[in-house]
Amino acid sequence: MAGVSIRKVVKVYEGKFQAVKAIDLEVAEDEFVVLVGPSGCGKSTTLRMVAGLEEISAGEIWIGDKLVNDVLPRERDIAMVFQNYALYPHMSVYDNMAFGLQQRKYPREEIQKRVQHAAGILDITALLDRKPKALSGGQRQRVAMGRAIVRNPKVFLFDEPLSNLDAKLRVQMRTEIKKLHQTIATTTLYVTHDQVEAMTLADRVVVMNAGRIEQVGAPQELYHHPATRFVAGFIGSPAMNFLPVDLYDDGGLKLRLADGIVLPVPAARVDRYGPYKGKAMTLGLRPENLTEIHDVERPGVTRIEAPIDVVEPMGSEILLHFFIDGKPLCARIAPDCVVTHGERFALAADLNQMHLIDDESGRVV
Amino acid sequence: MSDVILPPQPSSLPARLARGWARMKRNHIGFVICALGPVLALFVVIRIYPIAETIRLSFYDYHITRRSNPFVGLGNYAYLFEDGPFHEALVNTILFSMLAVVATLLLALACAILLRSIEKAAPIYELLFYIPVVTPWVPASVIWKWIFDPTFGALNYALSFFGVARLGWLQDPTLILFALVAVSVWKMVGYFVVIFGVGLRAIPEELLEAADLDGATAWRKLTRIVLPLMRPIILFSVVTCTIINFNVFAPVYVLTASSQGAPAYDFKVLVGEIYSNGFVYYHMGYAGAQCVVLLLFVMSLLIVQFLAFREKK
Repeated sequence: MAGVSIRKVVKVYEGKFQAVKAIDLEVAEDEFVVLVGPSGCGKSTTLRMVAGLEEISAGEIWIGDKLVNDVLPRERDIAMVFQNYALYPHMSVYDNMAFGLQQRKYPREEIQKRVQHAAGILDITALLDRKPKALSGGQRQRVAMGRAIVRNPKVFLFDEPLSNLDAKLRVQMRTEIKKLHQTIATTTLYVTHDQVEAMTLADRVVVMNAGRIEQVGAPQELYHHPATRFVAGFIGSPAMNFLPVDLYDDGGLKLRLADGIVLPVPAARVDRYGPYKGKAMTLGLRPENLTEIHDVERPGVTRIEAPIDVVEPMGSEILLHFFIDGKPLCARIAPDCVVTHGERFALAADLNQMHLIDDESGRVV
Repeated sequence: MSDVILPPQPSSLPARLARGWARMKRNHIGFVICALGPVLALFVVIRIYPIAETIRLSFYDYHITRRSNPFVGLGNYAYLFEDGPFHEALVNTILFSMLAVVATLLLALACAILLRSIEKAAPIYELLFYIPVVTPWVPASVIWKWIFDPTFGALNYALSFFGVARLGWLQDPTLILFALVAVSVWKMVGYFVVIFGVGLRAIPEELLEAADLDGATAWRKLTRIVLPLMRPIILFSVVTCTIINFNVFAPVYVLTASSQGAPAYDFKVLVGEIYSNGFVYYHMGYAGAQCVVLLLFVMSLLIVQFLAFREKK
């Protein structure tokens, strides 16, 4: 096993488009790191550079204590699960899994033992004689993982492995990947555009945007303490609400929304936000911090009232969508609340959980 | 007011045609037969009938200039066993075809693989390779006849720079085989470069990347991934190339002594023999028997090729 170190790595396509802009990332041994971001953010390019399938324009990639910039993919001792599985269609499941070991001249008995063991872990023993075309999407996904684990590589790379599966199977396979990592602890780099996948699987999440790393951290850390507006908006479903506000001091620090609603800044945040008085700021508030009003009002919780635009009953909760001064707003309320489209609804905004974003730098202050 | 019941009127012709058309469309098999009928009829007249007529003629001692063309049963076929030129033509054709098929397809595959690594320039090269394919056999062969000329030919001139003495490419009974193979390869390689290029482009890049990560070398990727995935394309190419080369005639006719007064070795091939017997000596029955043997031989080869390339269950 080995860690992965990405140092000031740059990828420029045809001397023009810079897909990855001098990123740094340290992945510890046996750590599960997920690269997440929107399409075109450079996450797959980064993964392919680690695999050796893309040349590096500048910087260094280390696997363990070996600089691998000029090392061929087959000599990097890594295994990759592709988005479309990349199973060899003319080979049986057994041969697909054995191919990598055969190329490395493992004895026949050892190959058989490893394939059977991996097939047992992934519950695909009964499928070993089948060709990939005779398998379902989920089964193909398992075979692709089996092909990776039989080699016992230093690093596992996953390139959006669940994006071709339906929603139910995706949840099931997500759990299995997590279980697999717990069973066979190996350094893992996993790429996805699905932030739920990132949050549920990762030891640490790397949020990428426009070729740069926005933030690296544990899932809960990213959720509760996003560093930038992008991370705040990308992590969490439904996404965080953003409202433009003026921060001013009127005998107490307050936020004024564009349509005149005034929200007092909680006492615990006054020192932190004080220096930004008079600047254009954005208030960030997650839907779960905008709820129905409870009997007991807590300090830092403020009432906002607005007409309901859309009601989305989710079973375990109800999502309410509003427009405040032309900006969309989403609230999460208890499933037993009776609400109708168009009615004015009073919300409790828990400003103790608020985020304030400096519009100039885009950073959460 | 009472209702007036009119007697049934005979329907108009367009209405009856429309009903008939609708009925025929409901009856799927009838519709297919009617739709394909004209094409099938044409196919039978142009393709099947001449083959059947050739097979029929092969049982007769049919001579164009004679009134009496008696039935001889398998007599023509029996004579094939004694016919020296036919044996020579059969051996030559087999040798020529084997060499031409192997050389054409290996060269085409190598070119197609190389062209895959220069994706942007590939169409230009494919076009250049394809020019000989669209050039008619006869003018192309005339040019090659000049290239192979022992005294004034470009090939001997080029070889002279390397100290190679003049060679009689079309006069030497051994060299003429290789000269003919070279012309055939030059003519057909472009076609198979395009075919293999299509096959290679159809292989998902991810499979080759997966093989890279699995530790496969370039050779192992070719033999374990690329060639097995191109099996249908290779089968098509082997079959097509075999048929083309077994039916070789025009370049042999132009390049060898068969053409008017040409000082070259008389390299015999099956179609040349059929042409001589049929249209020089007018022994149509015997030429028919040779045609049937050629047909059976090529078909047997194709069956073997299909069996060899079929996907293992």
